Amino acid sequence: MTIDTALLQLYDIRLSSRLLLGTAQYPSPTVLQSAIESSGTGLVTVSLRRESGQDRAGQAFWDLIKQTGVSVLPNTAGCKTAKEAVTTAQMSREVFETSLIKLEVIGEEDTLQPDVFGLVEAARLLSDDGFQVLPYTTDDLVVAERLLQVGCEVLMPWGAPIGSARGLNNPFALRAMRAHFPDTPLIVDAGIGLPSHAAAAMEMGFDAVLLNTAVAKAGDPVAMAAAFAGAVESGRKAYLAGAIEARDMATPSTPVLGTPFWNSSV
Amino acid sequence: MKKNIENIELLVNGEELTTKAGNLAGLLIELQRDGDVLATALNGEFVPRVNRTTTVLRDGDQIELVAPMSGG
Repeated sequence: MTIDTALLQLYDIRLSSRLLLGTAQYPSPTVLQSAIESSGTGLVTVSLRRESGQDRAGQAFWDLIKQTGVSVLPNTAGCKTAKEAVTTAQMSREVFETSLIKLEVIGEEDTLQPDVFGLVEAARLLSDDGFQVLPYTTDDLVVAERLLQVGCEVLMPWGAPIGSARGLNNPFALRAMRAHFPDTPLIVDAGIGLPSHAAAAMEMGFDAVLLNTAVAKAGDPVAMAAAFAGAVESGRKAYLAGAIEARDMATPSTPVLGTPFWNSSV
Repeated sequence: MKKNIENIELLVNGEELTTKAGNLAGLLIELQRDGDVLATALNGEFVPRVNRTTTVLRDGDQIELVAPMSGG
């Protein structure tokens, strides 16, 4: 029996769960807290937003996350230039007291796809400044190489556009990425809609999945978080167990030798 | 001769604000945000907490005040 004893290592943090969860769009803070718990995740994404008012919503949110005891991965969501992303990352490091940053530089509104040129530039500046960068990128291998060259130790290719719930849009490219970077932690980030999508990514050998909307907007986010936890665990176990190759024609699973009436012409 | 403190016009999180605050730390006190968990930027550049007192504000400066928020 193959037992997965290896923890997921992302820079200097080690995680027993391979499901990373976003914290946005939940029906209530209580549901968010329960979903984090039922997902088993050890790392959740958070962000920074303008807060001019006196309601101290940011403080309340931060207190709630701290209560759960999980680590945080701040993002640079909404940033459209390397400069914006770098400044946001610097502000995040001070507020959240972590060097981890989920680097997003968005290049296009319809698909929210990464501006890979700005992404590489921001990743270089942040890595040089001591950040531990987890870039949200495409499945482009050349971009991935550049990100590693500028200091990234983890890559997060998209499954499909953010919030689209389409699953793995290009399994071929993701498989190629896994094969090309066998030793780099790879996390499928964005576009996951169903637990089966997450399981498929894990079966391909991805190290983790990061998702948000599929849980937060589910009819029962807490139950869906548990469903994803099971899928990610199953997918990981299947990858380690070694799947059989798919084939076009049938091959009998019941032994043929000794079949009653075998070779009988009656 | 000591110069009188004059009003300056700022853009704080995209909204116009008139203040006599001479530096970023003073602005946060004026806004009653000095004890809050937030990060600051001046004209697109991050200003670490420790530098707020020495960060002088000038007419037309753009300030960002950001706080923790949920994210994906």
